Amino acid sequence: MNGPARTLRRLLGQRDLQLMALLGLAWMVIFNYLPMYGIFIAFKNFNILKPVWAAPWAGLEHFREFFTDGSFVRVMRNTLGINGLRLAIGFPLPIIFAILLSELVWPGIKRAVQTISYLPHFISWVILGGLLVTWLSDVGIVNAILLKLRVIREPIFYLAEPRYFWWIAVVSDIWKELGWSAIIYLAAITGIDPQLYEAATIDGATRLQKTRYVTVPCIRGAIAIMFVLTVSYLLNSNFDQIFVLKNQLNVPASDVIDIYVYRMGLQAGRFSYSTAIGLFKSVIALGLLLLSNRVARRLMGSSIF
Amino acid sequence: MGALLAPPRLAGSRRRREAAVQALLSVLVFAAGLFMITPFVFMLSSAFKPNGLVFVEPLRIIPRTLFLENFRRIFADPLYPVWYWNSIRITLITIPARGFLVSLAAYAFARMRFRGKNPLFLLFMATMMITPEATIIPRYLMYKGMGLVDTQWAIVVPAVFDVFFLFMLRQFFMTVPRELSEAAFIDGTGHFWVYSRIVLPLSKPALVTMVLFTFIWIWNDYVNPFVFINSMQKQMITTGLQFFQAREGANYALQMAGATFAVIPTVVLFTFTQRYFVQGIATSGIKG
Repeated sequence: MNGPARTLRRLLGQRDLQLMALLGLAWMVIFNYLPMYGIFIAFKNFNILKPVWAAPWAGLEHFREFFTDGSFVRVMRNTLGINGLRLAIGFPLPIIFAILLSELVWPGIKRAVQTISYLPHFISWVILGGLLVTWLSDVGIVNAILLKLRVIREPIFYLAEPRYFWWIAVVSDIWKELGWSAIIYLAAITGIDPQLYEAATIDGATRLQKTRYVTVPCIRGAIAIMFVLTVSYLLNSNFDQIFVLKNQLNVPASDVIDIYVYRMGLQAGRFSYSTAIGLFKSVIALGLLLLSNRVARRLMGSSIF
Repeated sequence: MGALLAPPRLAGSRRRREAAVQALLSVLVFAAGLFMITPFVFMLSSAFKPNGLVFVEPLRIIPRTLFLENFRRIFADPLYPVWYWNSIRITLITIPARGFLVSLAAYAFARMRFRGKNPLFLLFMATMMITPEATIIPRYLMYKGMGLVDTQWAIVVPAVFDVFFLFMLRQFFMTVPRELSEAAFIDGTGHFWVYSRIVLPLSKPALVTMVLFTFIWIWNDYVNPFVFINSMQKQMITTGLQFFQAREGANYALQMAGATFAVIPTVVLFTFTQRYFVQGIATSGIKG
């Protein structure tokens, strides 16, 4: 029997299975693939009165406008600044946290801290943002503590000063995601063969040497995956987070690409322009994913694909 | 070589050093835990204080008297309970619908055999690469055309199917041995029977993980209600709370009470499902 006929017969023989997948697939076509078709408006001069296919073509005009716009430098600097800091500090910390936790043998404190550390991940940014805005205000708890410790003389309204914004965004994000990001490393460390540690002990390795030569090489795969994903998100800000923390005064440091897309698209009604920026971001993200994947494969011998 | 043959013996000084290292580690880890729990402690503490005292004695964790007026005002608010109920209703409709559709499709993909299945699956996975922000304008226009904008269906309907969970459940279902279902087929049952009676009951950790994440993501979703819903009466708790915080600008105690009450469902669900999702993530290596 030739190939296509066999494929066809197989397909017909699995009608019940196909029926089971059908509804889900229909949903995916409508809600995942149809909006992608809408991305075409990035290359058109779309306005809301005419359907997408009837809008005149604009070529790369919207992209050109974005790259030459005065806001371009600012949103790129803020996006890359916040995410760069997040990568530099927020990427190694969960690895260190996971290693520290795994070295701890007292189960009580280990379990308690582990559970507590997951919790912030599940709380929405609106709530955390509300807390932060309160604490960082001039009469807030941060000022109260720093005044009491005599670190500062005058209360500072932290969210009103652009120079603090990147740090507030990065530290609060690390606080929220540290424990959650550590899960995958903890799982990887649990999977390490104990015999490796026993052998290292017999060879007289110190604790630090065991971490350096056994633990880290064994969780290299998990580190590589997380590294590739983190780098590919370099242009993605956390919209919710920035949106709740930004205000008129810190705009020079808080205007990131995602906020700009929202401002242009849904507030100013420039649908084509903002879709073009969103598309630009997705393309860069894909490029970063492929690049970091290659780097990870070369440096760590492990990658996603 | 003598050292190798001798049983590992901890000398007194080494045992003391090990204890010191453990103590140091405990202090470090405990400090990290304290850093993470502190905001919750202050949130709770402020929620049970009159607003006047929040800034007068910010470092007094346990209030002198338990002040419940903040919560009374939250429940009496004309909008807060409405948003809360909206969020509950939206999650209660979405979770079972998603659970059914996604698990059904995941079963089919775990069991179907045809050429081109893997490339097709990769094509589905590729939709996860397009960030939701990139399609927000096209989605807005599409939902507008469908009459979903400014209704809560704009949150529910698109959320009914999800590729991430399709992938997660398929991975899990594939670990259920085919022999179990083949025995059932000989007895004359169909795929639906196998799916509902054999595969689903065996996949409890994966299903619980899906329920938890779906709940959390929808409960905490800010962008979607913000963009797709305009009416104050129809907002969810996240967007509502943002408005509430802006309205009660000076009354921090009341804001904290609103925040406290909004995290209760999350914390409760988190506590009860914890052991499942940690297990689910550890075995599948997939994390939301």
